[in-house]
Amino acid sequence: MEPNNEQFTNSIGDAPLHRCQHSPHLATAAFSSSVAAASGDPRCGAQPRLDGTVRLSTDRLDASGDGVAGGSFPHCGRPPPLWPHPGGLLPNRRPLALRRSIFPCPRPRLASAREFARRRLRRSPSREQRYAPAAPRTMVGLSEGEKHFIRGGIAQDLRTDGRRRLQFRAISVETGVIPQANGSARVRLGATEVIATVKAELGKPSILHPDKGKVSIFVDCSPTAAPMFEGRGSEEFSAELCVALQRCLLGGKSGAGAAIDLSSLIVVDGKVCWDLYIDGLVVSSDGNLLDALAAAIKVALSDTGIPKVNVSLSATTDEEPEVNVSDEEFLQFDTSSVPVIVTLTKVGKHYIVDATSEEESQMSSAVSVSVNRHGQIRGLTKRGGAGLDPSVIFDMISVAKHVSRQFISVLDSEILAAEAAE
Amino acid sequence: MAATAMDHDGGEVVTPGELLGNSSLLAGLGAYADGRCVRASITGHRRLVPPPPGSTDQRSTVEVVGHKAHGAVPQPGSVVIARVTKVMARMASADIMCVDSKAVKEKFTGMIRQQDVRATEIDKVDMFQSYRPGDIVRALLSLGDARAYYLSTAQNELGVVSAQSITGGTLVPISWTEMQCELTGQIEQRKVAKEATIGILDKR
Amino acid sequence: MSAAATAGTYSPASSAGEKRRERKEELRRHLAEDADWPRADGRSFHDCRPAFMQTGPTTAASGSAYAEFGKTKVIVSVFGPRESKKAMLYSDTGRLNCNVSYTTFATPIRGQGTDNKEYSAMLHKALEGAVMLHTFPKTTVDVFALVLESGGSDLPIIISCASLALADAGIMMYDLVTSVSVSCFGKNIIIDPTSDEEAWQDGSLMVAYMPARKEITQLTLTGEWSDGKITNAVELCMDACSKLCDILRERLKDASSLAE
Repeated sequence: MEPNNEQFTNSIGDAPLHRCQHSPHLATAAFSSSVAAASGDPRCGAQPRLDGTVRLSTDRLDASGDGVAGGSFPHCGRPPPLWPHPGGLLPNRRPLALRRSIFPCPRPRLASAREFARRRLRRSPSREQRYAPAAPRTMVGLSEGEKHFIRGGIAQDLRTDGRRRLQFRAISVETGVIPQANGSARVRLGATEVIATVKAELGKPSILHPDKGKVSIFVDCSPTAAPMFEGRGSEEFSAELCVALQRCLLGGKSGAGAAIDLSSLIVVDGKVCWDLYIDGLVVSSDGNLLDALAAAIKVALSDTGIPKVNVSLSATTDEEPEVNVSDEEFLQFDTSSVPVIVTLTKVGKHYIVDATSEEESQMSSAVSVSVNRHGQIRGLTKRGGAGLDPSVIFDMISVAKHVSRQFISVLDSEILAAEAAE
Repeated sequence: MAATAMDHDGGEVVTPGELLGNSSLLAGLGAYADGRCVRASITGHRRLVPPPPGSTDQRSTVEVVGHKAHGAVPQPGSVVIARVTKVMARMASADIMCVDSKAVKEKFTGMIRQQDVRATEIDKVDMFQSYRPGDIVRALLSLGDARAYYLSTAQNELGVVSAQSITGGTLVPISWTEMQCELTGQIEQRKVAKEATIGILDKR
Repeated sequence: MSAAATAGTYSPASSAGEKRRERKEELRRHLAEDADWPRADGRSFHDCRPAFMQTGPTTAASGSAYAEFGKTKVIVSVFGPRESKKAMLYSDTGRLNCNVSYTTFATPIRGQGTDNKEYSAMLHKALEGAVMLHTFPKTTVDVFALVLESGGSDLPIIISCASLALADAGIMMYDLVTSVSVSCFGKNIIIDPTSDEEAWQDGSLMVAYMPARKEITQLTLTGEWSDGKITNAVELCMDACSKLCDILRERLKDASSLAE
């Protein structure tokens, strides 16, 4: 792909509402959230676009908004949400059943091949202490023809499910799914489904940082999501995800660049603080787990209410302070600095966002960039063995920054919608 | 190791990744072609080999003769020498000692399955009438499964090349299924390798 | 280690980028010098610690290497290619098995170096792109790294040392991999941080690089960085990696001539 100019079209109907020129070497990214029943868009391979679909296309579109950017579907009753306007809250959520019903089953042939691979992988996992080179998810059983089809599609900017290279799958967000937790969210990205929960417990700050609370992140890949998440393979894989998330969310050792201001978690200096446990659970896996998990954590944090604490200071300072946890008043987090992760997966000469498992199996390397609302890079991880030219990496970073801006705004509107629906 | 001092006199020492030349050269042992250039993949002496007379490609081959190369690794299709360690009803296991002409440094386990012992009447093979623990076997290697390499002796030139009888005497081949003890004259059953054609095998 | 081997220092030149950046760099260096915290070991911000590297400390292994960068001391042994463990799934190509461990006395508090599983994974990721796995089908090359003393920038040193050990073992590689990390303190970028510096850094960035092929095999970044600084830091690391790689090549050539 040799993208030349970038335009940020948010088109409803024919005219782009919003357009801005950024770095000239970036891709044209037409980004539209559309509400649709099945449309006969020939370029999308008759793939209907769903409510809240994130569309990022790299087409050199003119302003007239042809099939891809044009998100206008006249038979839809309500206007599509205008974004990037997080405030422009629209009830763009639909009942689940409806979403499911209009989501066509993608190529059944591939699905069966994958199923076959999973069944084959059911065999005993390795029990020894070693790092499995191939993450379990890359073991998708594909024939040569299928591989060629996927790679060819990416080269031609038309992926197997009708998306363009820089286009996300439909995202859906629900908050408050786990009543036991202080905050929780379920995020679906195509067939990938993850749940993130935030639990706050009172604890003691560490000696090294008496003025800071603690945040820990864990990820669990449930064997119910895929048989390959059984045994040690999943442990290593979830550890990899966990490390990547920690790197992107917890910032440097001094606490700079952290997604959550740790000093806001302190209750009594050196004595009592909140311990925040962020847990990610992979419910169903179809690629791009890291992005989905980061998005879910972001949503869960915005859903989190930390109980208000009244501290009655006793006369002597040595004594443990009495802490009274309110069950009525809750404090909300400032989640504006929580970044999202955008993974660019390199397949052949091109890179794509939001890769499915089949596409991930064809990757040579992938770069996950975590970007916050202000376009600042907060973390970066590279996966896959193949070396990358430095200029390609810099290029990927700027593309990721660009994509993240749109991803964040979609997520914002989804969060607002989810909260409104609660 | 394989290269003698004579082979690399004067050749400069190169390390992995170092440029050996451009596409006017062919990548030989210890070198690889990377786009338009040829680079070294091991540490050793750079050596230029002129094209063989009469070949259509007039380019010289550049190779790196390692001062230290890793031990031989079983490659599919290589002929190996193995020592039988265990004989069971359906298979025999063997430790690989040589791959082609090189001795291995590490332990590699091979498995001769019942159907791979000989080319004909494979369902009538009796493993105990074919191999005994301690026999030295020449076999053709394939990668096999997760547990072991598969060894096949289903060719005339493959099978037992050296063995001892129960009494400890050397067994001498007398037919393709029988060997005789030097000391006692007792005849034992083996899948015997036809000896004369080693040279042919080594060339494959 | 014998005294005969000389410790080679390497520092990325300020000419890592173009001229424009060079001037910027100069400015930054002045700014850095104005800062009231000189580095504890007397280095300037863009100076690496003297690197001492040697091949062949362990004789039982196929290949081995020892690296000492300031206080950080690492020993890496490479075994194989040898038969993969029985429990592994079948694979046509070779495998690289990496394991990083710390001695109990490597850290100020006994047995503190716990994140070695993460390091094992990172080491694997940094090296796998450089090793020609197809040249040893179905077998495993084991890379065991032992941190004798942890003194900061452990992982980059492990990576560089492991690539030297792999080359010493005669494993076919596309290129040597060297790695360097930088820490970010506010506006300043300091290279090859010590553990004290790492403990207070605002952000860190590590690059594993194949200098001859000019490819980055691994890149991680945490903390607060602005975009311009990332480019700058990556270029600084790449330049330091190239220089470190020259030291590695020298060591390999020394060992090769000694062997004759």
